[in-house]
Amino acid sequence: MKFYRMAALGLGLSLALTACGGGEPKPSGAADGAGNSVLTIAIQDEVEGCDIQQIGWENVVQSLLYEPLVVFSPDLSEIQPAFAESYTVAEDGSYIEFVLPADAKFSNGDVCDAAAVKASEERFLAISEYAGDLDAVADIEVVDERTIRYNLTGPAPYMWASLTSTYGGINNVAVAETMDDAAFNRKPVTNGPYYVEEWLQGSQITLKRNEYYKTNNPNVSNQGVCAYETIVVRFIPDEFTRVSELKSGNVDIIYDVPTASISELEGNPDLTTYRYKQAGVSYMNLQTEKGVTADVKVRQALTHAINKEEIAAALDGVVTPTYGFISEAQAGYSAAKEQELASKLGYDPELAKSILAEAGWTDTNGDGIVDKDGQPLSFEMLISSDRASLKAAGPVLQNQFAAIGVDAQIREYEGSYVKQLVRDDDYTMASRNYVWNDADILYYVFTEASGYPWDVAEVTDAFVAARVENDTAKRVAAYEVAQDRLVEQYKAISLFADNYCVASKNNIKGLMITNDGRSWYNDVTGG
Amino acid sequence: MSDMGKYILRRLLTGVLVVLCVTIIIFGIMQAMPGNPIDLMVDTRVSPEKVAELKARWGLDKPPVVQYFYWLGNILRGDFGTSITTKQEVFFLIKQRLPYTLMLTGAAVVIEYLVAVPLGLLAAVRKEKLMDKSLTIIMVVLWSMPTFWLGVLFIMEFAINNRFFPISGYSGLKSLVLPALTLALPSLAQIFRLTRSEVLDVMEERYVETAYAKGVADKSVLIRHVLRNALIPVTVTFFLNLPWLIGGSVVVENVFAWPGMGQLLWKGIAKQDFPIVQGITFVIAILTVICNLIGDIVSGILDPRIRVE
Repeated sequence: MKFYRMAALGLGLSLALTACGGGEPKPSGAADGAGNSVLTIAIQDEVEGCDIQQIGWENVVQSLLYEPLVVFSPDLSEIQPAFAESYTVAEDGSYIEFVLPADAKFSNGDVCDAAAVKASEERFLAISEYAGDLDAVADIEVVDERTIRYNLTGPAPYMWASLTSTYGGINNVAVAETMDDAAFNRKPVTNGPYYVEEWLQGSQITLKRNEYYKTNNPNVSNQGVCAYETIVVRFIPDEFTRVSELKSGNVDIIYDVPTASISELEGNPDLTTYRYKQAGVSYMNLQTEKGVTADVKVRQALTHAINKEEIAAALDGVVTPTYGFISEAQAGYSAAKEQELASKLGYDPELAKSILAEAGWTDTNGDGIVDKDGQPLSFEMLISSDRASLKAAGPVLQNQFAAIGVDAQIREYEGSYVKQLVRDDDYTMASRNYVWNDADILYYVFTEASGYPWDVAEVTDAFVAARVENDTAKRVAAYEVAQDRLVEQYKAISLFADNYCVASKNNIKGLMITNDGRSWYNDVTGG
Repeated sequence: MSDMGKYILRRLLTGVLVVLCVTIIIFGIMQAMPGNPIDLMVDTRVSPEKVAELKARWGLDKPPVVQYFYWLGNILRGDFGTSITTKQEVFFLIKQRLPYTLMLTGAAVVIEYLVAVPLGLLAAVRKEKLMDKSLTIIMVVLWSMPTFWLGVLFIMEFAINNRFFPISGYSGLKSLVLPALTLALPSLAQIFRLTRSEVLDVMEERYVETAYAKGVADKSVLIRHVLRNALIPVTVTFFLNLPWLIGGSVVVENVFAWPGMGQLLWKGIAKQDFPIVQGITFVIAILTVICNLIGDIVSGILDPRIRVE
């Protein structure tokens, strides 16, 4: 009897907690208590901050707060107006001029004229970690109220990547100067479609529609204020929980769909999925100066030992094999060059074995590992543990190397430590990856600009030539050449680009996710 | 000063040393971790010069000992520092999240004691009987359940299949039920076992036999003589468990997207955000010292035989 009394007590406690509950979360895709339309988005990681000039990485939250002056077209082939009405590049590449729309305003109603944009860009140059992206800017000149000119030290088309990204958005510096950086980082005044109303640390951020917003982005139908008055972005780190919230209808859109759930969500008739690719590639960086991989033939053999299709299959198709170093989600990509490199650097274990034999590496003691002068071809393969696809690919790579008689021992470390080991030149083979919407990132990866102790003049020259080429077609060609120079060194082995997924409820219409992962919410409406 | 006063003072001084040691150990562990927060934070396209500038800005270019004493000096002035990744004041971040963690751990502790103490008593009274064995098995099963798995199970059953509670986040007390149960249930076994063994020990005391011999009613013996004495170590454990629960809520906060300190600590460690990790462990260390002290004082009050000396 006592037991039942206690059970009743426990049940009573639960009911009491239930009864005094504060109610369900606000229904998504519907209206809040005041009749305002609310869109709920769930993402994995809480933002570091909202001020694009103070943070090290950005996501959909910042893209809703900022409108860059210009944007890349969805296929990354063209620069198109966005916040700016138009833009002009000087023939000799000595300046870029932007014309702002009449009556451009920040989310608080302050005028966003040329002087305001100049102040914002100067703040970016002063405090952003990525100020180096605009290193070619000599000065910024206010031509008239609506016209602003970036005077450049020389042609710098690589700047477009920054100018077209969220980092190219405009802050209201007049407001920023009235508060400390931390406060502005929580609630910046910006020029994008939404502004921050409330940020509940660790939980969610509530964005309100910017009633002064307008864009000239030709890729969206609605160039005025957005349909949804409120967007709630919830931070849900656990994959299962995030997916469950979508399937239960509590959120409208989720980002960072876990790879294990993609096929399930794709098969769900109530949901729509959007796929996009990593704007960059994951690769194995090879030591060229010392150790077993100092011999270019060993590096060449390792390149041919990798079956990327097998890796993609082992990873359930969540990656797309790459052979060159520019993914199709990056400006500067050449499908022809990718095709050419695929045939030149493709999987061929017999060729790999013969190259090793040619270099004097053979299995003399029958242990399955090739050796030379009594030394087995064995090395440590550093794998970034914080990159799921690379971590999963590690054992597959190990098996593929073993198939040609190479003993690659996996060592898993945090990506930042792998980066440090590469910078310290203390590695033989290290997994790395990069993400940026422009091929110019290769300049930072494969030249001394990265801080890595590797510099080959012809490679550096080729990347420098490509990054300052203004003509789009010539720029793509220049990157083809640069990739050839890089490949000749067998400095790195391109592996794959990750495939990402965003999922939404079917009643959410008009969401546009570009192939490189940019989200445009201008046309989003709910059913 | 009374003996008790001297004792409290001595414990507080020891507590200061304990907190200092904890901060040194955590700082040492953070320093020993491979990599650094700036490299974790910035992209490949940030030049080595800029990285060096950022390290200098955050004082990461200074020797570890200097960094530690710089942090300690600030803490003594009430300045917890600024998060490297979020650029927010650590005190602000902790202040935002501490109430949610205390709410979660508080609810979990209440559930634990409300359920485990009566069940422990029941099991002791029915020693070696079916009830005792059943409860023991149930407790072992609960103890063995991984927290994240239990959380997922609760979400599936009580938030998806039956929409009794929200899946995640904080939206009122209703959203507290599943995370609090997830945090509490695996810990029930500890309190259950402690209560059961203490009650069994006390039941063998001479004064209990005497009470029975004098014809005192069973219920009265159990509550006034047995439970009252058996609960002394259980009560002390209550205070000792509180800080542990704060640390133990990391997984639960992650599964339920609960906006507490656990998530902040986990992210701080992952991103090597030294000011956040130091700040939170400092708070937990202080809570531990205070809870230990309260536990000692309470046990002294409950049991006059426990002397300060």
